[in-house]
This record gives sequence, structure tokens and C-alpha cells, in this order.
Amino acid sequence: MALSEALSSGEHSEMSSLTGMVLSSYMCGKILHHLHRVHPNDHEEDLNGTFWSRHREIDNTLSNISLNLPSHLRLPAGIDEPNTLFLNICLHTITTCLHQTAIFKADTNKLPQSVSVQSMIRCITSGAEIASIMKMAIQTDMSTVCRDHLLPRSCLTMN
Amino acid sequence: MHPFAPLGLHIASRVFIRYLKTRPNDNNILSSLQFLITALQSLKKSSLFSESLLTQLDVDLQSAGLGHVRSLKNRINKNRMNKDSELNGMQRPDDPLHLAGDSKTRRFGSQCMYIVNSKTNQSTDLDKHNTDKSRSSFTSSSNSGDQSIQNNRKPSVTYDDEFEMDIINGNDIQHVHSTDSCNNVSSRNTMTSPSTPSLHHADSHSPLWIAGDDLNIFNTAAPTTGTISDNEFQMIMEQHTDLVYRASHTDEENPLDFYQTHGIDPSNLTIPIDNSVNLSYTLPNLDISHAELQYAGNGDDIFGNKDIQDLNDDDWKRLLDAEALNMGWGNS
Repeated sequence: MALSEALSSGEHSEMSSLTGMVLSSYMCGKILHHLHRVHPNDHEEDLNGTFWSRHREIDNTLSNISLNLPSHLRLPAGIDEPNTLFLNICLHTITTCLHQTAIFKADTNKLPQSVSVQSMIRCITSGAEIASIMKMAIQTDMSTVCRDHLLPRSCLTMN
Repeated sequence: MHPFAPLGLHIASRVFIRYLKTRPNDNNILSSLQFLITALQSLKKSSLFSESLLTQLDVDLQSAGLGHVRSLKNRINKNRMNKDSELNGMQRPDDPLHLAGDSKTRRFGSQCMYIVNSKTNQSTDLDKHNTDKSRSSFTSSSNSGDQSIQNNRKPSVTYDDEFEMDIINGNDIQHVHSTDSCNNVSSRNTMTSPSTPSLHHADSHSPLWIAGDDLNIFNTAAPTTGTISDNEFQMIMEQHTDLVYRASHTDEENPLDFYQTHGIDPSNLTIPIDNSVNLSYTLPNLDISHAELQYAGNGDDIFGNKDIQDLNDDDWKRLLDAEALNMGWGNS
């Protein structure tokens, strides 16, 4: 499966948990570029500028990935698979990172209060989801969850 | 669990901490934060990454005024009481000899910490907790039943959150209890329930924490009892940091002060020679003091009062052989 296919809309039933991890790693890298490689023409003070357009684009991509996850990569169906567990945690973590930055940028550039409030709500929701996933995970046999993972750590350093 | 899973928990915890700065009375978020911290403590058994994240979280919690949630103070107290119990000759729960004996003599938390109620000088008994599923005995009971227990042994014990996570991981009580998943899950569920007193023992208002000598960071005036406030905790951590980075000199705090008071330039420090030490397996002595420069054979300078460029092959051979003997290589 190509990366572009995985990012396209529509459910991908053939997607494996490792593919999901690669996808989340790609999104991590994309957010890293979004945050730390700021262009002078980004116009962070303008909600219609490049920075906020890119922010909305990444947010939509994350939402698409979460919506199009196949059933075996969703919880609680894939609770026995460590990569599936981490994929779901990772997607919420990426969302949190994205919106934490949005809060910072909105406060710095004195943008309308609704922008930071919306991002804060998204952050709290994602954090609560992570806590919920962990509560769900500990209901299972930890020996299964803690077994050696198949994911190379380099996946997180992609892009 | 994936080794980077603690990162997600850490970020979620930081979101909660930031939220609790503005709304400190949101108990739902507070309980979620406590759960994430205990989950991180659990995961550190499988992922060392969690330990550093927990330390960072402790700092964040302290700066956010949520010191009662933090876990590091509990861990320090646990370590202190570990050492203290060993010094007092108490058997540890994981002691096989102890486990082989009467199981009733074993007490949860004897590896952890001791809490004495500040007003009644009584403490809760964790043995009661083993039979009391509702955990009502953890509310610092002051009934007369605990008085007799208190008199029979010293001191009474309780548990901390990390010890409970040890129970979950089967790390500590694995030999005594069944480690099937059902028991583990029940422990976890009760741990995260609102009535669970875990982490609340860190509150400096109600209990007294009996200090020990572990890590040598609590031995100021050797207090046996005392309440650790936030300021004291900060001071303890600073002392601990100093201990970690302290040089091997025993008397002086700063090695540079040692050099200054003794008039020694560290860059030209000479290594004293001890003839009783076999130098066969040591590095060559780099002492270039004047006494060492005197060649042992004829009392001349080590170069025989010659310019180094004028030395012939015999002189070099003599010098090198002498140095080889000094380094112990000539003994073989």
C-alpha cells in the first residue's frame, strides 16, 4: 500500500497495524515540519494565512486517518495487538501536539479566544481518550500487551 | 506495550496538568491524571523511558501547585524506608526465608513507608486492608482497635501507590499471590477508584513520614519523624542532586575548593608513588617531579644532563629500559 493510498479517503481494510504505525510516524514528521520550519510568509497572525491553512490541513488528515481506520485497527477490537494500541494512542498524541501549538500560536498572535478554546477542548478530549485507552488496555492480559513489539523504533524518526 | 507508549501518556498528563492549572477542582481530570501517572509507573518496568518522563512530570506537577499528585516524594520515602527496614534487621517481603515462614507475619508495605497519624499517633494497618475490600480502614482510623495493633509492633505500615503498582506487576508479591490477570485487573480497578487513597498520603497535612537514612539525603539531624512539606522536598531534591554530582572527595563539597585550599594546581597534579602497589596492571606514573627526574643509576638528570636532541641510541635504550622497569614491565 502506498502512502498516498493510505492518506486518501475511504476505508482501507488491508491496512496492517505496522502500516498504521508508519502512517502515524509520517504525521509526526509532518507536524515537526509544521512547527519547527516556520516560513517568513506563514503569517501566523492571519487565520487565513499559510500557517493556519497548514494546521487545518493536518488536522483534517488526522481526522481522515482516524475515520478510515479498518475495524481491526480500532479499539477495543485490536486491543490485543500492541501496535494497534500504540497507533490509537499515537493518533491522539499527534492531535494533542498539533493543538497545543495552535493554542500557543493563537495566544502569541492575539487571535480570537475561540481558536485557543477550541484547541484546548481538542487537547483535553485527546488526553481523556489516551487515559481511556490505557484503562481499556489494562483490562487485558498484560503479558499479551507487553510482549515484544514488532515495530522498529526508526518508524518514529521517519520523514 | 510499545516503548514509546509512555510518551503519549506523558503528553496527555501534561495536557491535564495545564488544564488543572485553570480548573483545579475538576476531579474527573484529576483522577485521570492520577491514573496516567500510576500507569507510567507501571510501564517503567518494561520501558526505562518512563522513568525520565515521570521525573519531568513531577517537576511539572510541583510547578503547577499539584504537589499532592506527584509521585517522586512517595518513591523517595519508599527508598528511605527500604533502607531503614534493612538497617533495623526487618525482613523484606521478598525475602525467601520470610516467605517460607508464616504468611501472617508478612505485612504489605513493610518495604515501603510508615505513616503515623500526626494527632493520634496511630496509623492504618494494611493487614486490615487485605480483608477489607471497601478500604474503609485507610481513613486514618482512630478507633480503639488500632491502638492495640499499634502497641504490639512498631511501626505500623501502610502502602503507597508505587507499591501497589508493584503488586500489579507481580514484581514484589508474586511469590505470595496469584498473578493471574483477574487479580491484577481488580487491583487496578480499585486503585483508580475515587475512594482509593493512593497518592493522597503524600499530603503533608495529615500523616507524618518517618524519616530514615536512605540515600544520605535525609540525615540532617537524623530526624526520626517529620513532615515533608513542599519546601523540604525541594531542599531534599537539591541535596540529592548535589550528592549525585559530588566528587569522590569525602570532606570537601567542591573539588575545586579542595585544590584551592591545598594550593594544588589540578592541571599539574602529580600522582604519588606507592611501592607496595604492584604496578604491572596500572597505567604508567606520570609524575614528573624533580626527584623522579633524577636517574637512579648515576644521580644525573634522566637525560644525563644532555640535550634531548644529542641523545644517541644507547642513551635512548637506557632511558626506555629504565622507564619500562619503573612501570613494572621488567619484572616478568
